[in-house]
Amino acid sequence: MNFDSSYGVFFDKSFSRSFAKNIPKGLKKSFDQKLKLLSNDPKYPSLNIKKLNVSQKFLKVNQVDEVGEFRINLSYRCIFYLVHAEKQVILVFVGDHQEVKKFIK
Amino acid sequence: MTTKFKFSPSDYLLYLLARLEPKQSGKLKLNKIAFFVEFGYRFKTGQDLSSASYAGINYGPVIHDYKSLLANMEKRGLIKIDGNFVHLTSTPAINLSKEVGQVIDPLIEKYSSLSESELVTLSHATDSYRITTGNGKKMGQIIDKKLSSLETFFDDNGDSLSIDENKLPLVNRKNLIPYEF
Repeated sequence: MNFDSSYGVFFDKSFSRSFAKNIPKGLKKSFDQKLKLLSNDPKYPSLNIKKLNVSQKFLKVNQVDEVGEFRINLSYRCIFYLVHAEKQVILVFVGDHQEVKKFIK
Repeated sequence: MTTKFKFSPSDYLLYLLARLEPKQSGKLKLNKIAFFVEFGYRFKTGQDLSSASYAGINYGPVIHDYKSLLANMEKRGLIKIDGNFVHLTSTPAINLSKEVGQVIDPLIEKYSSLSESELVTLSHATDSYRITTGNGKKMGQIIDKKLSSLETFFDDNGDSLSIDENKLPLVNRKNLIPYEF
């Protein structure tokens, strides 16, 4: 995925809900560490960033350029959108692998 | 892959050294490259690349008892240790199948291009190391090579996934909040 350390990290209320519901308190620190890695060096291997394939229609409707996920630890993943023009990484969902897998075909 | 090739630890190091620039052959960097190439090979093929074992120490994963291994290799005239650096004394004659080389040579190239400190940081972040050492609390434990299957960053083909986009959350772009660390 094509972004770098100049991108800012953002979230909205739907992300806050999934964070509050799905992330154990003890994992908050690991999540922050991974976000720092994401914002400093998105190519860092342990983030294990994967691009999620979506249609052009989806990208247009949501006004985003790419959809991806990164790994918080062995079990937990975070889904994000990229908006290149505004250099934004938008966190949209976080949960354990089973919850994130619900999105995967 | 059907070939069950396995390097001896000393042949493995000789093979690596033959592919590294002299300035890349610091003892710690050599250990890190050996770890990433061995675990990458195991991830990709399910087979051991060498009979070396790896231990988790403060510097991250290294070849178990690598100091004795290097000292023994120097005694046999295979290498010369110059302070922190390890040099070959002659070009090693190691027969390696084409299919093994096709897996490990790109890994050697990839990981040798990183600095020693980058490799140390990266190796500390591997699940193999973190699980074996209990997140850095138990040093000296041998790392089970089967843990390499957790290191999905070795997966060159796994960089995209199909997703049911109808289930993805919609985002209100007007109400975004900057994440504070």
